[in-house]
Amino acid sequence: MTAPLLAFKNVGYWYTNKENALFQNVNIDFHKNIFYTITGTSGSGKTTFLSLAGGLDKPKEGDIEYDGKSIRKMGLGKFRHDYVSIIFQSYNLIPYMTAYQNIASAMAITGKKAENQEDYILKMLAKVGISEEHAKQRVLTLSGGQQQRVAITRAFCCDTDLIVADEPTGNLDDKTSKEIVKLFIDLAHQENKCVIMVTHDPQIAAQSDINIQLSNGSFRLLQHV
Amino acid sequence: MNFLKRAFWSMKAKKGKTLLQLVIFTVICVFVLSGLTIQSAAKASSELARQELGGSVTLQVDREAAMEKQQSEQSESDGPPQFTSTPISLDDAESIAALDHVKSYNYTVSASANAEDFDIIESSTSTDDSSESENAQAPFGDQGRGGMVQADLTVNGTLTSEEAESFRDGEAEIVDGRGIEESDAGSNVAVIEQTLAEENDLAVGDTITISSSNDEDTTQELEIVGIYETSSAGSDQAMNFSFLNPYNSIYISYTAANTLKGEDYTDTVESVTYQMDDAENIDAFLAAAKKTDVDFDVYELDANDDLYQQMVGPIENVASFAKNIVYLVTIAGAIILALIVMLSIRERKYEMGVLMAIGEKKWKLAGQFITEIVVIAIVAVGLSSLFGNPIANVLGNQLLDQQTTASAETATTSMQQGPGGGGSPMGSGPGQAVSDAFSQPSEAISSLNINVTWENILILGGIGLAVAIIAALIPSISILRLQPKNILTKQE
Repeated sequence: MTAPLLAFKNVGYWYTNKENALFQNVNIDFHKNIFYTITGTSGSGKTTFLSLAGGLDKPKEGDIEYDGKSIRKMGLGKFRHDYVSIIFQSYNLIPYMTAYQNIASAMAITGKKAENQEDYILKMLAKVGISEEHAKQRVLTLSGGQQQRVAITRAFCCDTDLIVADEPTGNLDDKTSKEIVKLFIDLAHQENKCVIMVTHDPQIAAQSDINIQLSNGSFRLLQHV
Repeated sequence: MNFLKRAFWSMKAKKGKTLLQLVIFTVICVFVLSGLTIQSAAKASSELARQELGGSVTLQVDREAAMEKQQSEQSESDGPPQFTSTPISLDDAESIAALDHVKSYNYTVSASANAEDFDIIESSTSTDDSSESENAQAPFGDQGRGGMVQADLTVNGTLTSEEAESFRDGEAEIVDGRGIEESDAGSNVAVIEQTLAEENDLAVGDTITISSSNDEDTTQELEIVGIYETSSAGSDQAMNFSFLNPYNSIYISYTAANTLKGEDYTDTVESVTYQMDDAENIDAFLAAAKKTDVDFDVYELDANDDLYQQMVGPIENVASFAKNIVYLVTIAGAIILALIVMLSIRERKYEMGVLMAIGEKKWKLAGQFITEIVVIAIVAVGLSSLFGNPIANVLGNQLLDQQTTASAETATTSMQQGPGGGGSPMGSGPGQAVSDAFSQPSEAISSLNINVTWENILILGGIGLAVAIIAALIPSISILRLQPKNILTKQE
């Protein structure tokens, strides 16, 4: 087995006090080329767990390592900037920008460059079914499915090895949802990414390589491959 | 520099909000620019007035102190009340003349005399009633002797006639020959009025003889070196007293005037008028003069800056008002803009959360907001420099009109209440005071030459940038405390 891309080491997290910790002593490794899903009841700590994985928050105890380096020491800002792409249920696109501008901005912020950036972005958007016409429209004029595709393309164009997604299909219809999940699976398997997705949908969980079930602070890993 | 692009995209996408901020910022800039322009125009005008007027300070006997002294001495003796004027020594006059800011100075020695070998211009009343003429008494110059004396002529002893008040005012003008000059000290030369010269067929080069009104044995033969013309109508009193008739006023050197007054007056003068290089320096000059050896228990320095104050008073009020406009609008503008930007930034928390989640640095987020408002500020400064000039002209001159009218009303009111002490000790009388009270307000600066200069625009640019940065920076501080998780979690 290769070295994990992301490793939770004795991680604990609580909001008010340690006695009411959401979880403690969590030790989970995440590898590239694998599509992970995290499931659990509401309030079980799925989104909190994903926030820790995405560098939006830091654990109360223990440490999280990315490629063997502590992200606490590295700094969450740098970790987010250099190594991770986050996709949210609400797409998290900047409303006054076009699809193209959203992706171009993310690439500029993360310092990712392409030889012919416009062609590259339009090609990537075309891959997920966003036409050039839609690419030049402000994102608020696009449908939910299209916006989520743009968000996924943004993560893809930023070319980070780690992609975390918080219920990205939560607002989408079944057909679109399936298409989006396929995109994530392709990202993991074809683009060699480590994709971690929080979902409520058991069908999506069933499609993942590894499903982590979170219940009462304990983690149960179900391997589908 | 993606934050610059984002700022541009944001402004382009939110045209309405951008336009609103631009309008507000332009209005603020127009007011600030108007204030700055009015201020600089007022400053330029008052500087010009100051340069034109210069301002003068007169060293003279402190009559009030002298009267108090006499009153106390009178109570100790049974003699009649006497006013003793102590002449100023030339040493004292020169020690003050040597101080900084003195552009020029002139001595004044007033005396009265009788014409010996020529006819004076008789006043109509005195012609009709010779006894009254004979009783005409000189109220000045020789008061120190106690009692009044009969006189035909007013004798103005001066260092240079050019610096004498009536010549400086333009009331008197040399029409032939020359005036009294500094080099005439010690010489018996005179400048007489044109009418007097014509009546007696006198010309430059001729001589006249006058005698002291105190001592008819003291006579002086004076060579006429110049003839002047006066536009003065004289006072009502001139109808009764020949020496008050402006035509009977002659100018001689101060030394000759002293000789006429008597030996006690050698190397003294009655008053000295110092012309300042700048009216602004009067206070500094007065302070320096107080440190000299001159006895200020006996003498006083009178700053004759009433006219200057009258002229620049309204304009200084306008400048002060304009200064307040600048402060008020700048502070109020910064607050209003800060509130607008703050509201706008609060609305954009989600955007900030997204950008921070991607890994954007917080200072770049603040930089984006600052860029947006600075771009608006630059356009607003440009627009206000176009509109600022006509608005500042209307505002500035309207303010000045109000101030000028107000000061004219004040002057009229004070005149109606009584001229009070407006008369000069030289006997110009209440008529002169009334004339001054009416004429001075009309001499106040009544219009401003308001032009927006590059300096104004540069200052406005500085203020505009400061307002923009403060308005964007204060709300941006709240950004620095934000965590993307909190923003995005709350958003969801």
